[in-house]
Amino acid sequence: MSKMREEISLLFDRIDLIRYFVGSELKALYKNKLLGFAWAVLDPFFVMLVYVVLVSVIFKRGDAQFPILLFSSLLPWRWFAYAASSSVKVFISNASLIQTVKFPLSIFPVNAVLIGCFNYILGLVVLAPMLLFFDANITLNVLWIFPLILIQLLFNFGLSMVFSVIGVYFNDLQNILAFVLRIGFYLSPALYELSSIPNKYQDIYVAVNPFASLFQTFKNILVHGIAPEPTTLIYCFYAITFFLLGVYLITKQSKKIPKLL
Amino acid sequence: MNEIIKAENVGIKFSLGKTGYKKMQLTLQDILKKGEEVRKTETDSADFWALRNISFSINKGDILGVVGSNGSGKSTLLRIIAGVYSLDEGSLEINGSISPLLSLGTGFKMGLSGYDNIFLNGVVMGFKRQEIEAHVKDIIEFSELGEFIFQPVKNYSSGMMARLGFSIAVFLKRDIMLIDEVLGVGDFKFREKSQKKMQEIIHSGQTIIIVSHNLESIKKYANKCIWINKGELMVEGETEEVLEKYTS
Repeated sequence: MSKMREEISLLFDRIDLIRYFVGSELKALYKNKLLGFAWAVLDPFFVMLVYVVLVSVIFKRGDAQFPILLFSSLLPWRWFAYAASSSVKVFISNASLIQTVKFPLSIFPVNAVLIGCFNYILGLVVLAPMLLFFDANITLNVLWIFPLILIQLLFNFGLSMVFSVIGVYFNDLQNILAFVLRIGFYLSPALYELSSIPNKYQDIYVAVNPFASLFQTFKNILVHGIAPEPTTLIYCFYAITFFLLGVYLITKQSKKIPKLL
Repeated sequence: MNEIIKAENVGIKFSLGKTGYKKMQLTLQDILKKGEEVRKTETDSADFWALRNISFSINKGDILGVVGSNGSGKSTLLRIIAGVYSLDEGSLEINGSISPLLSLGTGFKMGLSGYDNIFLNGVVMGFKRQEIEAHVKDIIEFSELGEFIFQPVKNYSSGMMARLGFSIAVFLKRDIMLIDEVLGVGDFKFREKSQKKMQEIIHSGQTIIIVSHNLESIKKYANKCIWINKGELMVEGETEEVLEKYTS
């Protein structure tokens, strides 16, 4: 426990480094492109467009608010997916650095999570005018987004640490994760509503899939204008569990990982 | 004289081959078949001691040269001192801060300008923003990159990158400098300049550990030397005497 606390406090000691890592990564990601940072906004927008065409135009499903219902769950999903898929190879791709300088290893998953967070927040900026355009019921409940971002931070950071550690031992995880993430997205109520799940399975579905309660909460606070339901606590529970598990794994393995790279 | 590094019976091992799921598979099978005892002996036999029973000490202001053939564990020793690898045996006492010399290009972000990379590199090595700012002019001037400093590093030639790396390392340094095979970078003129700078640093009382195959430079800079062979310490002592034994 004290080692876990130490890892986190070391992380805060090197906040300068985190800032530079994230800043330079973002610069490198967007700087040399014609549209620059606009890509952070356009990327999720285009993905949403594809789904809207697929569901609303081709399959003729989904109601008038489908684009914002989808977008409000697509954004948190993309954050998670980005963090998870970059974390899984993060130690391997930074091997030479890890073997030259001593770092708190959790710094690398943190970077992935924060870069994802940056894109996420830009995505929310695009979502705002869309909410107005599609007649979302905007109330003060929107403000729930701030605590929710913090909880997502915890959730994504936790799972990213778990994936980053496992990624060192199982190279195959990179490939597996790509599929798991894709399937995971379809198994979560982003393209459809929770209510379209058969009633008797709904409870277990929400309990097992943390994204069910997360997406539902986002749809509630952003589109329907109602406060989060108690099921949100399920997501919080997962967030805390994954966070503790992640910190535990990374502190336990931090001596071995540099040798394995 | 105050000791700045004291290593006693330092040992570090790597497990060969059986890592990750292969090892897990093996252990699972073994536990089922033969029981715990066999598993222990089997995994132990796969351990490879990269370094063992290494003892030496350095005082402040010493320049320690580390020589040995390829794969003898020299770079591993530097990594242990840098704190990257943790020991499996023995003890290592370090009374000071360490600045590892990033090998050429390590930690550079190719898409960023040389200027941005100075800061990135500095922060990676644990310097504060203000400390880097204080030296950034000197670094740019010494590297002779001129206007190119604002160009993305990916457009640099390898010599330019080496010059930048070297310049960062000589201006951003801590109590103990670790140098791994990067003496003498760039063209003839720059090499002369960098050697002059090294002399200057040495005379300023900097503690340095140099790993090199270039015995000339070890002879020139180091006042102490250790020879490592296959992970074991062969000789420790004055540079001349160690090099004599090493080359004979």
